[in-house]
Amino acid sequence: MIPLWAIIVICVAYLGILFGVAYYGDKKSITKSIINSPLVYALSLTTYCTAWTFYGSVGKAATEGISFLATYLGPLLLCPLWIILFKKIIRICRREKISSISDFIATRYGKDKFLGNLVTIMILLFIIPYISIQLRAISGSFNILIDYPTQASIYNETAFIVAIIMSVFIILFGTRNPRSQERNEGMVSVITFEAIFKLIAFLVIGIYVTYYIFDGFGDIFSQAAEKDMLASINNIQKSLDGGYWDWFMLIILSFLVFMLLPRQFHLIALENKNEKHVEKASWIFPLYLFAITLFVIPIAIGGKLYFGDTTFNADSFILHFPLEKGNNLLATLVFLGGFAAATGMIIVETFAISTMLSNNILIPLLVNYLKVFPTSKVQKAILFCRRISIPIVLLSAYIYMIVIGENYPMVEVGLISFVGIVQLAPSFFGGIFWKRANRTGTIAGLSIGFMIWFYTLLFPTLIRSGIMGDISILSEGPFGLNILKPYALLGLENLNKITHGFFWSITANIFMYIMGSLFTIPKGIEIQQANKFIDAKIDINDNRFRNRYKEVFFYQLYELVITFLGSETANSAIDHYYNKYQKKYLNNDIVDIHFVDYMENVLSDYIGNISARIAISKLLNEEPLDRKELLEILEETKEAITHSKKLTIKSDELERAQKTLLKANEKLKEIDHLKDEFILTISHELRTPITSIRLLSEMLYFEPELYSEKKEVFLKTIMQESERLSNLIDDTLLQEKLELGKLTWEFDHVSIAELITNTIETVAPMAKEANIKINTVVLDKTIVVYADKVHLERVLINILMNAIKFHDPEKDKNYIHISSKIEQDSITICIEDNGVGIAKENLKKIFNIFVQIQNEKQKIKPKGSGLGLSIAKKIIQRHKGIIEVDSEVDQYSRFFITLPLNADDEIT
Amino acid sequence: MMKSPKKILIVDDEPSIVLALENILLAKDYEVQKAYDGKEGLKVAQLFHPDLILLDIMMPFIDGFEFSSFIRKNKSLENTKIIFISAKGELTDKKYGYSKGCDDYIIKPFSTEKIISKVTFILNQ
Repeated sequence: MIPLWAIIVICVAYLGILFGVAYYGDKKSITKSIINSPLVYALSLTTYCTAWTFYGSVGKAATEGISFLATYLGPLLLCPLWIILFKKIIRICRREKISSISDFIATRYGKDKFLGNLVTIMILLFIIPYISIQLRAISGSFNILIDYPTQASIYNETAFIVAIIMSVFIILFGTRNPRSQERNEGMVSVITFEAIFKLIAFLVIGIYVTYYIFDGFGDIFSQAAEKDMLASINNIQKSLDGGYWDWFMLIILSFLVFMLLPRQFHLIALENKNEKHVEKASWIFPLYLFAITLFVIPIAIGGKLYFGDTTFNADSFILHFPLEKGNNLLATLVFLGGFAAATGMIIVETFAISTMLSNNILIPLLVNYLKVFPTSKVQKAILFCRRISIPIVLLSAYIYMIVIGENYPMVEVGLISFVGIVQLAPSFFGGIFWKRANRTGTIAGLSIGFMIWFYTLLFPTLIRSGIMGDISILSEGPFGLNILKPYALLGLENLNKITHGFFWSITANIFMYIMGSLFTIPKGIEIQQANKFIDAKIDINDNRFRNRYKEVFFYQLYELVITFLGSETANSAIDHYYNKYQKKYLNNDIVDIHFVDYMENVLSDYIGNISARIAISKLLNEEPLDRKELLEILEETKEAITHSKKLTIKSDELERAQKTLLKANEKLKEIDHLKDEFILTISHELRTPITSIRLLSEMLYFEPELYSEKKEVFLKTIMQESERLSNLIDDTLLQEKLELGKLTWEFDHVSIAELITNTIETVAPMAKEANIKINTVVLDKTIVVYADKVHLERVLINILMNAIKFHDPEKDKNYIHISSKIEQDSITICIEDNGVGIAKENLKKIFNIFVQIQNEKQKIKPKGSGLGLSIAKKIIQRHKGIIEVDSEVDQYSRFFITLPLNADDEIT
Repeated sequence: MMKSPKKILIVDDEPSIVLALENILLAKDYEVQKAYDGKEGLKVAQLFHPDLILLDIMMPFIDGFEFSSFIRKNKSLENTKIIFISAKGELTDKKYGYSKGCDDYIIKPFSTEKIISKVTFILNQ
């Protein structure tokens, strides 16, 4: 037991520190912001971890095992999307002067007052119970601390006092600046401080339980294993009544509420200092979650082992441990950790929803009845609206706690709030990704979602606490209609009540949202706003959807703005406009609509979007476009889109055509290049024989006294070189004709046996001179191929001549062996010689144009055009045949020519 | 006293060119050696220490450019002059030829007179 006065002193001291931190943060913001860092941004987002998680996760882990992780897994799954999602939202909020999540939705669907009111009221209903459980956590832990272990007295005053102090705090540090776009540095500093504080407190108690009371993780788990407790901890399915479905639902739920809870939205989008912080925060945040959940399971199991079956609520295990051990200092630290978690949440949540209350309900009301107030009082009235909203919210939460909340477990209240908040998901996410989504769809979706939420989740709690209805409705349905039982709508029985309510409300919500948006026509301003939200990067100014308006004189607009902002702020805004756009108005000038929009934006910053819209709309005497006009514009837009689509298709076609042309051009260039190369090589090949012919004949002419043997050698060389020249010219022309497809072919049935005989006769004299013997295997004369006899003969002669040319003079017996092999539909002629052979690396390129293979033994450049085999290959290909080569240096060379049989049609 | 004849090495893989050049130069009383490819040419050059090399560019194994680089690196051959015999294609950029260390070049086809005047001129420098 700790004396009451001591705890009060500690609490006051702690709150004193909070005020100090806030004051310091605010003061520093004038010179150098202390919250301008990704770390602070990430830590501020951990306001997600409230007292509910601080105490509740141990409680949940003790009863339901690792399923407590679901509420952390949701936000974790969201982290990878932060960069896309958060940045887009931050950008929209900054440009559209959004002040809260309800303002976000109302502004997206046409700056609509009704929608603003609807969403705000819904959120108040969802969130006030949620704030109340935080108050309850504070007073609950306070009671435990004071009255341990009897817990007899109940000090609800604690909660009341906390509510009052928090109100003062938020008024001091949240409403100091009238602009919604100004960051509340003091408040964020406090949140960050509390984020660190609660983490430290939880880690300290975690280490205390695990390593002081027990002997480390291993000890706890082995003790638990002895008592068969592990199974229930590790098994998700067993631990929840709806099994995996409930677990899955919880993850989805926490995934969505992480962005949609008013405080989270506020911290994510409105208190962000720099878009770039999102990237780093997206991995710092998960680390924090990991740290704060590390000791949950050990404490939960430890508590069950240590306290056994006592009546202690598992939620407060972390307080019971140090109290039981008489460690009051540690107990106080834990208490303050929970206090930090609760107050952090209370501060931001209250601030966020009181801003909604004032911006979406109270101030618009005031603007509507502006004439009631004397002009000089308007600014004060606005400030009053802002301030009074805060105690209204907190006291409502306190009253809820006293009247209703006491009867229900924290977890149930919290989850009911969550399911409520999730109703915003369709209109929120649809609003930034789906252009067609409109106000009617949003109102329809939200209303049906809200009604089902009320009927399946809130209504039963009211029945059970005896406030409304008869208990039989729960078991038998209203008027005995089973199908309408609140916990088993349309006979859906197997889910737990939260999953059940979530399923039906969100399904109906999405359905109505989509249907409503698809089948109704939006107002002009909705279309304008949709464009601004979805194309968040581009600044669109589409005036076609604007309401009809009367022209306004500058002084009228000026007077209006001064009423809300005072002359100093108004003048500085006008100066800013002048600096930016170089346009200045005199009192009796009619103002441009661009200037009106600018002033509306400025007003939004101070009194919220909806109020600014109301005020400006009144001034301009606006009249919305009628249905017909709107349809016409939409039709035009549609046509424009179709037109631009057609243009896109055309330009695609053009691009494709261009690509084809480019390719063709590339090919032409390549061919051109080959042509150049060809000419260059040919001219090179021509130059050499011409040179030697010239030099030798000059010598014969100028030196008549040459020996006759020399004369003979010279003349013989001249003859050879001349022949080389004419062969070269022949081959070149042939090659050229083949290349261009201009060669004339005379196909007929040619007997292979005859062909070979003819060829041998042609080369026989040369073979004899080189002392080479040519053998053939006698072939059946009736075997014919469909071929051009002359060209095919040329191929064979070329190969035989090569064989003769490259014979090995050092060998005793030189031979050329011609054989053939008939297969089912082809014949292969093999020409083998035992000449010098062809090196492996040359085998592949031997059929290329202008390749002349050198052989070391002869040392002399082979005489030939370098075109022979390349021509041979082309001729064989024309016959649908294949020519191949195989060789071993110094051993043999084998050329294979394979020609198809009975392929007349194919060849012609 | 008669001066000892100038020594000329012909390196070309075209036998007909070698035959022609050899006879032209012998008729002018030069001492002539011949080689049919770069490898052989280098061996001969080191033994023979020619005053001038008539060098074909497009040859197998070692082409004329490489050949002349080898010669230029060899101290004992620093006074050897080189004339490239080009079939034009490989000498589109004359500077390149000079950078490879030739003293002059001649493009095929050429006359007897032209080759003699070039050789005489280079050797009398």
